[in-house]
Amino acid sequence: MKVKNTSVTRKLILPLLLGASVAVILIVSACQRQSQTVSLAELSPIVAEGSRAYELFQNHCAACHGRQGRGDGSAAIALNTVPRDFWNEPFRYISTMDGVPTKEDLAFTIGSGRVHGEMPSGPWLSDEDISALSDFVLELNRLGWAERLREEFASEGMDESEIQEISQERVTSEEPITVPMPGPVFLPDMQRGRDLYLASCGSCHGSNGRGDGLDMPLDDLGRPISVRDLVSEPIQGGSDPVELFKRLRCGMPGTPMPSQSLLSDDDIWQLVYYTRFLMGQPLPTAGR
Amino acid sequence: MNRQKIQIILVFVALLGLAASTAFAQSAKKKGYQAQIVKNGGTIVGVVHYDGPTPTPQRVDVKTKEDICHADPIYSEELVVSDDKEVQWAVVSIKGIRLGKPFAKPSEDKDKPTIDQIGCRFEPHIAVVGLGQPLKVLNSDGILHNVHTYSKKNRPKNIAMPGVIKETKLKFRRPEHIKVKCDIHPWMVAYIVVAEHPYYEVTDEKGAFELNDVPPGTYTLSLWHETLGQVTQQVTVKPGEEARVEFTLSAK
Repeated sequence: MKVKNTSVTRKLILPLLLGASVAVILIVSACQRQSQTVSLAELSPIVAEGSRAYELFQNHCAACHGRQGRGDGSAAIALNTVPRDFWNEPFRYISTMDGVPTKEDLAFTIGSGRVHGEMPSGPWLSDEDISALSDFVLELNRLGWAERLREEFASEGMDESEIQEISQERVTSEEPITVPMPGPVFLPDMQRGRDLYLASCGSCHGSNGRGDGLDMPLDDLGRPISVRDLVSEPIQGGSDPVELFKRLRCGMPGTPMPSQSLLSDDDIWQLVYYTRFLMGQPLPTAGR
Repeated sequence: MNRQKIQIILVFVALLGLAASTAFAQSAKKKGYQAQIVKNGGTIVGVVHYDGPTPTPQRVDVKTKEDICHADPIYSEELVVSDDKEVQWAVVSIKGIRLGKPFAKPSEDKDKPTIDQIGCRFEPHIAVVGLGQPLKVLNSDGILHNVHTYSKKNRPKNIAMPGVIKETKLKFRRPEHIKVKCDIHPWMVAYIVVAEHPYYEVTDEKGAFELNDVPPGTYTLSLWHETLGQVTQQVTVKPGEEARVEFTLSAK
């Protein structure tokens, strides 16, 4: 009897210990998570818990982007790309010259996903849902700006009204660029395209477009980032000429990819088509 | 009828007055520095010393095949200290001065606020530009550089400057010390100091600075260095006299 009792205890010890340690880990991680969480409702009505936009975000985005959009969702570790931290990073896909997406840019990204990336498209989302989510992530970005400004400049006397003013300015876009369609006589000139490519793109994307031009590229947060291999990797924003034109002209904020604001429209078109040539995409031909 | 008209006019005038006074109050609140002719101004001269062992200049490992980047050896300008332990590239300014001389209006193009990309370096390492004034950004190298600003109060920018583009201009809306980098040549780092008034100076290779035409009074001098941090010091300027100031920055 006594012997049996001991063996039962022994049998129970391991699972009990395991169970207890799992419980401890869960509690500790829950506490850590709790400590990172601020009340969004206290910061802004646009992102308040319980609002329609908040619920949409929880249902469609939070798994990767995290409950508060800090890029720390539970599924994030399974991804090859780091989900955007809306608080601390600018938006990459824009159509303006001021580094800020228009609401349409955000809606396009949310609705269509990243064509070849890990972000799925949202065909089940209504236009209203997408619009609400666009406002939501833009507001998180503004709150992130406000947080950083407060942290750095409040001690120097920057007051709350100025923090609000500047953070609002940081997420308010100008008009998007109009992509001027190339004239009817425009033809891609591969020699001109290659010259422009080597002068404006090759330093990073490599002389043959293999993404091997830079030694240790970093994003704005100092994390390693890879330069797109234009030949064998698909382009996240899609290879559509108009989208390529925007990427070249407006750049990709938060990355080393600058805006080609000083080249002529014609030169940008030549670069668009040379890039498409590198990708093996069809080019316009005479008599189009 | 007449009375009604007068009433309407009175209300209108009152509203106009209210609007004007609000606008005035706002502009008064917004108004920072006011320029005027300074008579009987004094001068602040000083030196920035370094407390610690003189650091050896750090030569940059230039990881690019572009010839122009190998024309001259490149050294980090993050911390430049003379043999006599004086700190170059420190920025001295009068904190919160509201009245004083106007910004210099250089007639010669070469004297206008400029930052050049030359020999795969930014030249100068620290460029000072007045609030709202254009900063000339040159590319003397004839290769692709990108001017990537890490600003917070001002809109961050990342502009490609292919070799064929020799010049562009940048403008800033708010005073700020802005870090600038080139992603293609990551050792290229500079600072753009957007100055809200003309009393800003960058120390030279002897750690020296000089602020001229300072209206007499007592001020707080602010000293900023990119790695050594920020310190302040009181200084009193008397008409036509020179006030001497010594700063010491400690090694980190």
